[in-house]
Amino acid sequence: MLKKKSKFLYLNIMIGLIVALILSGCSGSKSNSSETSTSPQKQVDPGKPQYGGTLKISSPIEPANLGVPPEQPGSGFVHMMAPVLETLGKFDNKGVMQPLLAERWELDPHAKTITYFLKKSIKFHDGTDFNAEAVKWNIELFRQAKRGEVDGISSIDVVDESTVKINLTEWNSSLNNALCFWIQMISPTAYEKNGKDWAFSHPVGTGAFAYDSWERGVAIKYKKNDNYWQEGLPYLDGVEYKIIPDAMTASAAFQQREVDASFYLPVDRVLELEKNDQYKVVTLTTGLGNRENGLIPNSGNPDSPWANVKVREALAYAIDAKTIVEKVLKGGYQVTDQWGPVTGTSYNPDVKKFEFNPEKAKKLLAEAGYPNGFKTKLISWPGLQHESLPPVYQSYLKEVGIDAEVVPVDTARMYDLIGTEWDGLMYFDVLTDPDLPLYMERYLSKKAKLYVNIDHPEKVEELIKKGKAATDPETKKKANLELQKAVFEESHMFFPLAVTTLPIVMYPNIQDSGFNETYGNVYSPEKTWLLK
Amino acid sequence: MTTEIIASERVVEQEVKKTSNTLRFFRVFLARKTVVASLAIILIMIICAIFAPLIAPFDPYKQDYSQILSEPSLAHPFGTDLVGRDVLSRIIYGSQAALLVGIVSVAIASVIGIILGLFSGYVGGLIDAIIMRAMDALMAIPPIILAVVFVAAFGGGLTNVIITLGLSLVPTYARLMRGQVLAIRESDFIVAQELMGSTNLRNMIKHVLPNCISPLIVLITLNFGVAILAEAGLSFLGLGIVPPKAAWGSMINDGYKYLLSNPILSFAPGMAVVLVVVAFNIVGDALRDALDPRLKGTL
Amino acid sequence: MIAFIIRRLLQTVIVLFMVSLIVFSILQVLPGDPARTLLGPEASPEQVEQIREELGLNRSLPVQYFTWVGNAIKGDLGKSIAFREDVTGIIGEHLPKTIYISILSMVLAIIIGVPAGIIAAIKRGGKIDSLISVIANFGMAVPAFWLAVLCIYLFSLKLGWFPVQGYTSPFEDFWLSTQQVIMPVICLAFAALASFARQTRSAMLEVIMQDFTRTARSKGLKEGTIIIKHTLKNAIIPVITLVGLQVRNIVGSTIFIEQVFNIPGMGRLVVQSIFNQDFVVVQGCVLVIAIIVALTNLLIDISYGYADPRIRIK
Repeated sequence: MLKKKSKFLYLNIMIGLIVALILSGCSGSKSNSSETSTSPQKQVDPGKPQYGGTLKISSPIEPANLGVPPEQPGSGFVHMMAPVLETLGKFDNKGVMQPLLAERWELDPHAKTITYFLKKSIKFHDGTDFNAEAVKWNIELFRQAKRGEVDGISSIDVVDESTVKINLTEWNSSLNNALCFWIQMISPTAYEKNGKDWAFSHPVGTGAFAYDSWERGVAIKYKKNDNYWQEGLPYLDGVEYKIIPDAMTASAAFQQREVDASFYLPVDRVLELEKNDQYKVVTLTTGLGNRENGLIPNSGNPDSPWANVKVREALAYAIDAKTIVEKVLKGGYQVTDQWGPVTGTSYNPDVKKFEFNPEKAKKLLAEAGYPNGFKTKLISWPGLQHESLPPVYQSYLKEVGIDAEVVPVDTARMYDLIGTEWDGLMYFDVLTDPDLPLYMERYLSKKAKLYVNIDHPEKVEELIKKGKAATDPETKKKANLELQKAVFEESHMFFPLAVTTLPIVMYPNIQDSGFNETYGNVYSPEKTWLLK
Repeated sequence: MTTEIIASERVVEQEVKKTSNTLRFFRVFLARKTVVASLAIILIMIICAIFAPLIAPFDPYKQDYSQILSEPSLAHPFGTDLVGRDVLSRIIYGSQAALLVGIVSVAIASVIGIILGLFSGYVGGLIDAIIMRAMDALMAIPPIILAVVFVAAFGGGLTNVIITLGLSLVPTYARLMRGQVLAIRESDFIVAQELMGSTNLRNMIKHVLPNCISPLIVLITLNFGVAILAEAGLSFLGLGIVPPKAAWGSMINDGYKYLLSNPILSFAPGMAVVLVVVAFNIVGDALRDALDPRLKGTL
Repeated sequence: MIAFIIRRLLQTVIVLFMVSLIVFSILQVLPGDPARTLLGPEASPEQVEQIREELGLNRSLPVQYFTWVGNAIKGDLGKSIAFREDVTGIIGEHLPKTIYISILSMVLAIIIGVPAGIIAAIKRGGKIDSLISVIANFGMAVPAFWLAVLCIYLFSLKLGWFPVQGYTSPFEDFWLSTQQVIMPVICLAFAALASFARQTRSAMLEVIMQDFTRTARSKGLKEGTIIIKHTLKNAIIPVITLVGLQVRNIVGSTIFIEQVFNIPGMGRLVVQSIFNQDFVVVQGCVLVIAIIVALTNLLIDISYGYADPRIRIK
């Protein structure tokens, strides 16, 4: 019997070798094929900015909406609108909000007001004025869409042409950052004249670039705004996003120089490309706006096994995040068991650790009434994630008796599911700013527009409220730490796996792009130029 | 009286034909070496499918994170995939899905198609017209798109893929059978019987089926290849066999993501599909040549 | 002849009616409530009810069906949930790309496949014949998407001859467009090409074996003349029939090819919409594809109605 098997093995190897030989005929050596690209110029001083050229960026995901920011739930799309739409402020590399469309602002916790003093003589692409009225209108649009980020505003006063005063019902320490980060200003006139449906595909802002064309599934093109309010800018003639859903294709297209930079490539692809010193890889090192991914169960559905907190605790024991990050993700990510990186300012070292322990997981499942496990779904989507994760998760879950069927969905469908309800486990991919009240509210509170299908413990709601109302940093930090404990030790609202540094692969002749210099997904297209 | 004599005469005639036909069949069928090789490939595939646990060197579902995307080696002739599973073992297990899809979907298609075709041809008139236009309508939608939409409606997974492919192959069989029924109906023999008033559905089947055996066998053989190709296609799009179950199409898709660094991951399962489909096509052609050379133009 | 055309036209209309019925019934089994999906999570039950009313989802199925068909005839295929645009407009954006690469593929398949079949038939039994039949066998068995993967690997990644992905309109940048389109077209054409070669070969052989060719040969005509004058003319009908079948296969294969080469045509739209569960788009796409296939077949039937008068009577 044994002999027979080894004979079969021998036969297999022989067949394998023959086919491999045939194939190697056409596959050639493993050297890479990018001899055509330019030589490294990292060290050379690029000199003065040069005008001209189009920056081409590949992205696996495509927004369904470019021009109506309140209805843009995903933070992953923000950078794609950035060339056209601008905000009141912008983060610097220390995470401090700096004025952009605003000249300055005044925060008054006691009077519960925020006052914005706007820069003068800025115009939208349609020629209308960017003024206090426009700012008010844009914030109102967010309020109408019931976006949690602008919660707590009681009224907005237009003081004069370039001054807007925001009155709050109660002080909200996160509101200024939220308003400056999320509210991308669009022209009220263009929106009202052409309607919302038109606006979805026609962003009209104040940016360095104006909307040119959008061919679905192919490319979003922006052209230079000759009347840009910052004198002498932009340098580029245009910015183009190429939509390439498949990571292999995107990576190959980058190597063939069909694009200058690649966003959201899976980390293993980036590590592969990084070996070639003709390419430059920039990672996010500021710790601001990292993305975190993991799994989030539909705990809000009482019929789901995941509604039981013991089952969710079992999930934390069942999956070996450390091994996955080290071996499968090959170190391109950083393991975490809370919100944000372990090194982050909001990390709570006192929260209980749930080390990998399948036996414990099985025990918890049995206690919860599932001694033989159960069937569930694992919804995966393309783009932001690492392709090998679904089968890996599946295999770990199988070990403890949970039979997870992988259901692949497309980006638009994914946003649809996380905005309504999904079945089983959903891929979790969020922006993990250290400002927990603001960002957890975006995803984990009753007010959230995303991942709505989860259980919302009162304690978490309370802590979010408490953190937002904090007027001093100490109270806020305390609330942050308490939130971590409530979410991850007590309620197991989601299973955190790892934090990514959002590596962007680019050709080194792209100058002053600001890619990953300040905040995840944020860059400065207006200052970017191409070295020729 | 007369019918009996005619019938017995036919039986004798058929007996004589049979022996010489069998000889002729094997002589023509096995004439070319490629046919023998193809039969061998099909046999190997069947053996792989049935004895997969014995043949496969590794567990096709065992993920080994220390062996992720390893290069081909003696232990892993085709290397390992994105989660460290042995590719060769997965290809061997993949033959199960391919074979199952091939056999069952073609069985479904042929049974439904034969019944529809017989019935349609036999009844004639309006019902015939309706059935045939419905078949035309199904034929107007490219089969793979029809399959994709069916899978979208009813969900993926082995069972649904089989049913879906089975249904999208029905029109070919229905058309073939109906054509045969009409041909027989017009032939003198049936006309004679009809005059005797002895025509009924059973008679019809008795006379029509034997005449269709040859084209049916050929069509079924060729459709094995079609079904296996279609299954690979659906799995490639992520609409077929549900992972982690080993299927050649989804392996090509998984491997495709690593085309730059590990091309063998998508080359090897693709090769398996090509070999098996070529084998079925060659055998189908040889069967046609051997059974009934006149079919050349029609099948 | 006119009677024949009218009859075929009528048949096509009936077939299309059946197609619409099939497509409509498939949509009925698809999961999800279109009204709910259209409005999103914010909507109140009243709003959902209102939109159901507007979309006619409360009416009986036959009424819904006829409304849909009526609108479809007027060119209104509904509104996409994912794209928030009219389906007709979206299809209008995607369809030309698919038609462009499909026509190129069909032309390529015919201009290479048919001569290859003729050569194989003339040199039957020879080396060229076996080579062509090996390639043809391979061509009919190789999955289009796998061929595409091989091509990308060899011609883009290793040799750097063609771009990996993308589509540019030939009117915008003809050179770039042609470079981008070469590999997809070859991959799409390959299976059809193989079929044409085989079909031509066997049709030619059949005619060559027939009496009148023998007669012609005995008259002392040269081989070339025989082939052109007699054989080809008689062998062409089964080949024309094959065009109809191959239209279906080529359009079907775009579903893979467009996916692999990242071409925003109908095939990719169908797959994308399925993953988006945007079934209004799927419905529209399948209907449009079926119409194109049915109309092509109608044209083919009419054209060989001219070529072979016997067909008209059938």
